[in-house]
Formats: sequence, structure tokens, C-alpha cells
Amino acid sequence: MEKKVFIETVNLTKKFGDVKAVNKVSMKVYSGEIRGLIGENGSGKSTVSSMLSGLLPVTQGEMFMFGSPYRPRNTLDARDQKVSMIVQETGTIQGLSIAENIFLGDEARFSKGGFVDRGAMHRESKKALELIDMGHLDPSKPIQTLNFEERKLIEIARALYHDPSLFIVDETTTALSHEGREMIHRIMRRLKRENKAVLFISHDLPELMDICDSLTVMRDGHLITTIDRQDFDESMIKKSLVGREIEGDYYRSDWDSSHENQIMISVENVNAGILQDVSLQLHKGEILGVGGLSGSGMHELGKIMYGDLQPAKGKVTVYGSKPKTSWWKRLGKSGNDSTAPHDQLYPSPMKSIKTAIQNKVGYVSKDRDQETLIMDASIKSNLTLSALDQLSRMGMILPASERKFAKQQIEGLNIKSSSMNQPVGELSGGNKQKVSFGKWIGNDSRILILDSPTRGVDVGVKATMYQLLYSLKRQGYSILIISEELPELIGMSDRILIMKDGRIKKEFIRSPELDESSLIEHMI
Amino acid sequence: MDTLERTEDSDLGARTLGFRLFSSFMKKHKNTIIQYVGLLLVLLLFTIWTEGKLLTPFNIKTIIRQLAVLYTISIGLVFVFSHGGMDISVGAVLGLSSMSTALAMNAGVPFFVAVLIALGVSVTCYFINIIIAVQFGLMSVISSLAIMFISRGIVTYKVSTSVEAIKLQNSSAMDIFRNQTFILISLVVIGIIGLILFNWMKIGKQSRAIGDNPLASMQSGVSIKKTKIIGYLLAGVLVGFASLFSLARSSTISENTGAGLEMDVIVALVLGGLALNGGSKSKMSSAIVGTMTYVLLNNGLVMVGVATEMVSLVKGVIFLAVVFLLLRRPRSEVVPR
Repeated sequence: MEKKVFIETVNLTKKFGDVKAVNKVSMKVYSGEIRGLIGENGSGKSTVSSMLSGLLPVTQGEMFMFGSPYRPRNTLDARDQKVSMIVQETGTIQGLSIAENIFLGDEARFSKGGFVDRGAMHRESKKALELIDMGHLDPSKPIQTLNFEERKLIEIARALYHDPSLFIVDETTTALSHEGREMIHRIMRRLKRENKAVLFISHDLPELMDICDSLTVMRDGHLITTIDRQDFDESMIKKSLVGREIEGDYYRSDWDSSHENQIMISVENVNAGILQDVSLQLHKGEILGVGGLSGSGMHELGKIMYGDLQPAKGKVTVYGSKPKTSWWKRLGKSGNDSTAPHDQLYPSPMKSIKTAIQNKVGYVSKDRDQETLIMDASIKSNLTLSALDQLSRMGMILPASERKFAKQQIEGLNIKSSSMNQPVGELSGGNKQKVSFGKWIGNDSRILILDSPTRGVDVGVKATMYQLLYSLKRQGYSILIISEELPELIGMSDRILIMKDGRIKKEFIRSPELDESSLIEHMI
Repeated sequence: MDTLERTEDSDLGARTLGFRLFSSFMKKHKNTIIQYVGLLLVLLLFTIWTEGKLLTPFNIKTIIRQLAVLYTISIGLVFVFSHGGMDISVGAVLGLSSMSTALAMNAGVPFFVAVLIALGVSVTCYFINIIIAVQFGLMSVISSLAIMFISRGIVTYKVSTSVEAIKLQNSSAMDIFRNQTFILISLVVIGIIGLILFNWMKIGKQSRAIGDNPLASMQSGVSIKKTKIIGYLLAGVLVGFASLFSLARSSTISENTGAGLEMDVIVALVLGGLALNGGSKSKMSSAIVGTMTYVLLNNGLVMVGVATEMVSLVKGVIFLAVVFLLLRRPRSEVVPR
């Protein structure tokens, strides 16, 4: 059968500020094909699918559908042209019913004299649910009665209801269990039989190789190659993914997992939210990796160790500067105890973020742009915000000392910017991340809690980040890396803790034998 | 459509480079431009229109006296607006504070105690305001609405139940606050203190950070509650000080003392280029320049003979124009993860 070009992009380009997220991508997707799209974080695969589904406007280049120009104005417009996408993050709205979520933005179709005809809406929802074998659900129930996985499947039902000719699945399967994945695979194969096209974006190479007819590899915004099924070769694909041999200087090259015995943060039998009886110790000069799926509680663990969340049970102790005695207590005491060794560490309970900062703990959130950086403020203000006490002389923070401080960090971390007064929001992902590191390195933190430190950062910057982390380790910093990217954990950590359902399931010590599959085994 | 325009753009790049540099410069410094160009424009326009009468020594004295109250209040309220707060109680609080001072002085308390009472009343009002907002998670504009009604209510009740008008009996005790030199020096000192607090000290830096992103500020070790409370206390002190200027100007207290000030402040700050949603774009100079522009505008409009009934309308139109220029922002895009 002659393959028919369904969607074609010509020199598709997307810029965010000065950063080219997608650079002149020309690709063809055929009808009746499951096309895999693979690439590292920040390679531009999500951006391509966002443009195809009308989520993001195109900067330059053209898209064609069956040879005629295709320019979706928004996602609804794309859907009317039979292009539907399921996104990485949850796209359902809490507080609405299942039916309302399925027909979000489309209520007008059930209009009856200006009111929404709920009966008709529920009947149609039932049809949509049957498409994903979930006809047993009651569409009038609120969406939050479903668990994360079922909500994801509701999104799929929503996309399928409109009978898409191009079905885009963006890293959905990582969040799903085995059965959920099987379901999506069945749906994709069915669409293929119906001569529709599927664009499947995933990190999971074996999964892609199992289900796709062809694979397109992207790297740093460029389309590297497209491989047909008969030519699939795992090592070759991996090589083209990274673009160079990843041995040697990408991650740290030593396999020495030693560190000092001094404990810096200790977590004892902590219960909080999803976390169940979690205990761990972070030592001086140690890189401790924490891995797991999004819902495993590892992000909450980071917040607990930074004093941002308080445990319901158990305790968190940080070893740092001597707890300050209030002045009225000091009045009563005679003499001073400056005889104590200077580098002596004192334990204090982690009560708040203030305790954390006083004891030289720094934290970079997974949601860097929302929680760690202030987008509208300048690089200088961002860098100095956590060091104001340190910079202040008699209560005043003079512009000269601020500039000196910012300059030090900008030069030390090689942050690329037009000036230190440039708003952080204008920087690329990698440079933003460097600013958020600089905040804590600058204020002399000795313990860094980094949640997904290389998220949305391109390969080149990743390499520098890894080198930086390694050199920090050797300077005696204690670093906790929370990451969903297993190669990164294996490559960087002295010790890896794998979390699942709020518990620490397994501990691994750094070794060259460690591979992803043995870690994944304990995650799911 | 978008793509076509962009390709053309790059072809014409060389020719339009100058214009693009200009427009990007304008965009970047929009607030600063509105701030100073506005002041210059008002100054120039009315100087010409009034044939120089605007700048006669007599009128300048009038302008300075008119400026004193609004200027002092605005500097205080920058600490509220910059962290994302909003206050509409200032007029009523000033009224209550003036009345308390007048009553206290009539009862014969020493002058410096009266000054402390003025400061104390407004600081208390602002403290209650922010505590309600912070502790009950209320929007600060709502709690200030409550404070406004309560303060105004007390003044109205007291005025309406008094047998005779509430009037400062020994008006000469306030002479110092009428002294031209004292006013001028006070304004300069308040301005400098405001600039230092806002630009060089923790309170100003942390306020702006909170205005932009409370979550990130918190994770950087900023205590949001503490910063907000200090900001409100500073505002309270300055409003109290302003109430003394106000009392010195008109020693009779009516139920309308201070009425409308809350809106004047907002208009003045916006004319001074302050983004009302707070954050890193907030500037102390907005209060200084903006109140000058506003008072000049008021004074000038009256001098050229615009009917008092029309002044409000003209101010409204100008306000709308400035807000439109300030708040229109380009759509920003978010990088997908």
C-alpha cells in the first residue's frame, strides 16, 4: 500500500526569546502510522507536538495537512481539524464532573435554549468512556473521585471522542501502570488500523521500539534522524539521542562513593502526607540521589528536609551553626564560650525555612520558575535575595556590595546574560538554573537540596551542571538530588534511594554495575 | 499569518533597526518615561497656559502645602503596594487620626504627646488592618474597607454628636506644621528616608520580591508576614505624620476630613509610573514624582479656570490613559517541559 503523507512540517521553528527550542524541523507523518518521537529533556519534542496541536503559535516555518496549509489557531481549532493531544501534566480540572471535563470548552454542543442539557452530555460522556473500556463510570461524579491514572484515561477519552486523525500522546505512559499502558497501546494500534496517525512521545526507548512503526530522534531542537522499524537498533538510537559518547566527562567518572561520616541532615521516621516512616541521613561531602515516580513522595521529602513542610510524625535534624540564644538569655550568662572549635556543628530541629537557611541549607524546587526564581526581577535581585542578611552592613545593603556579590556568582557560574540587571525571565533554561544554584552557593550554603536540577536544561548545560555538582562535592558540600532521570542518578550519586508510595524501597551504593532496569524494578 | 509577518520583518531588518531599538527602549523603560515625561508635560503645559503664574513664589508655596499630605502618605503606601497589598482606608484613618489629635490637644495634652497620639492612632489602624488580612487570609483591600468604614464611622459619630464643631482651639500650637521651611525640610527628609528604606534595606527588597512571587520569596527565606506587617507599620507612621500636616492646614474636623485621599494616592502613584500590582517594578520615586505631577495638575487646572466640577472628570480621563499605557503587557509564552 502506498503511504500517504498526512502531516508535514517544513522548517518548523519555535523561539522563546532568544532561545531556539525547535530549529528548522521538517518531518512527514504518514496515515496509518505510529510515529515515535524521542529526545532528551529540552530537545524540543514537546514543543513540536504543542505546535501541531495548536497549543503554541509557530515562530517560523509551515505545517501542511494533506498538502494544504495547516495553521491551528488554538487547541480547539486543531481538534476541529482532527488533531488531539494528551499532555504530560494533568489536563483535567478538579471540581468539575467527569462529563464536564470530557466536554470542557465544548458545552455549546449540548445547548438547549441557553442551558446545558446535562442528560445529553452524560449520554455522550458514556459513549466516550466506552471508547476506553470505562463505561462503568458514572459521568456525573466529580473528577477528583478518580485516581491519577483514571484521570489520565479520562483525558484520553476526551481526545478520542472527537475521532482524531492525528493522536498525539506526550509522555503520558510514564504516569501509568502496566494495565494503563496496555490500554493506550491498544488504542494506538486500533487507530493505526483505522488508517489514522499517532505521534507518540516518550522517554522509554524499549516501549517506543515495541510499538512504533518509525522513530524520529530530536536533539537540541534539531531533527537528527528518522528510523524505520526494520532498522531499529537500540545502541544506535541511543547514540543519536545524545550525539556523542556519554562515557567520560558527562557524568563524574570515578566510582568512589566515599564521603565523610559527619551527618548533615538526618530524617527519622517521618510521616507527612504521602510519606510513610521515612528515615535517611545526608552526610558531609555526599551526593545522595533520590529516585522514583512523580507520586512516590520524593518531592515532598525534599520540602521536608528544607523545612517547607512539617512532618506529622518523626523528626528532621540539621547540623549547622550554633542555635542563637536570644539576647535576654545571653544577658543572664556570664563569660563566653568562644573556646569551642570553630567548625563544630550543632544539631537543631528543622522548624522552618528560616532554620534551614540559618544552617546553610539551600533548596532548588522542581518548579523552578514558580518557586525558586522571580521571573520579573533582575538576576542581581534574584541572586541577592537569599543573602540579604549576609550583605547587610548596619541594616543597609549598599548597591556596591550587591553588585560585587552578583558579579562573583555570574562569573563563577558563567551565567550568560546581557547584564546583571536583565530580568531572569529572559534567560534560557540552563542559565535560569545557574542563577538558582548561584543563590545558594553565594550565601555560603553547605547543603544543597536539588529537586530535578536538570529539568528543561539542554545537554551542554547539563554537562556543566554535573561538573559543578561534582566539584561542590569535593569541596565538602552535601548534595541531595531528587530526580526522575535515572541515568543522572546513577551517574552522579554516591548513594541512591528509590522511593515508592511514600516509602524508601531500596538503597543502592555507587557502582559501575548499576543500571536503570534494576532501579526501575523497585519503582513500579 | 504570524509566520509571514516575521519573515518580512527580518528582510526589512536593516531599515527598521533604528525604530526597533527605539521601540524596545520605550517598552523597557515605559514606566520611567511615563513618570518623568508626565511631570515635565504637566509643568510645561500649565506654565505656558497660566503664562508663568504657576511658578510664582506665592503659588509654589501653595503647591508645597498642598503636596505635604499626599506626598507623605504616598511614600508610606509604596510599602503596601509594592508587596501586592492595596489600601483604601487611608483617607478615613487620616480623618480619625486628625480628630484624635485635635481632641487631645483641646483636652490640654502637651504637643509632643499629641504628635504621638496622631502616629499611634494611624499605626494602630494599619496594624489591625494587616493582622486581619494576614491571619484570616483576607485580601488586604477588603480588610482596609472594613478599617475605612470603622474609622470614618467613629469620626462621623463624634462630629454629629458634638454640640459644637470639633475645632482645634489653640490653633497656633500647630504653627510648626504650617512653617514653610519645616514642611520643605520634612518632605526632603521623608523622601530620603523612604528611598533608603525602599532601595537599600531588607524591607524594600523583600517587599518587592513578595509582590512578584510570594512562593519563591518564602523559599528564599523571606518571612512574608513579617515583611507585610513592617510595611503596614511604616505606612501607619507616615499617615499619622500626614494627619498633622492636614490638621495644621484646616483646624476644623468634619466628617469629610481626609475623604477621597485614598483615590488621590492611587492616581498619583499611577501617574508616577507605579505598577499597582507590586513587584520589582515598584519604585519609591513613583511616589515622589507622581504626587508632584498630581498636585501640579490639580493646581494648574484650577488656575486656568477649569470648573471645579470638571476637575474630577479630567483627572479620571488622564488616569485611565495612564493605566492603559502602564498595564498593557505583551502576551508571554511559557516553555513546555
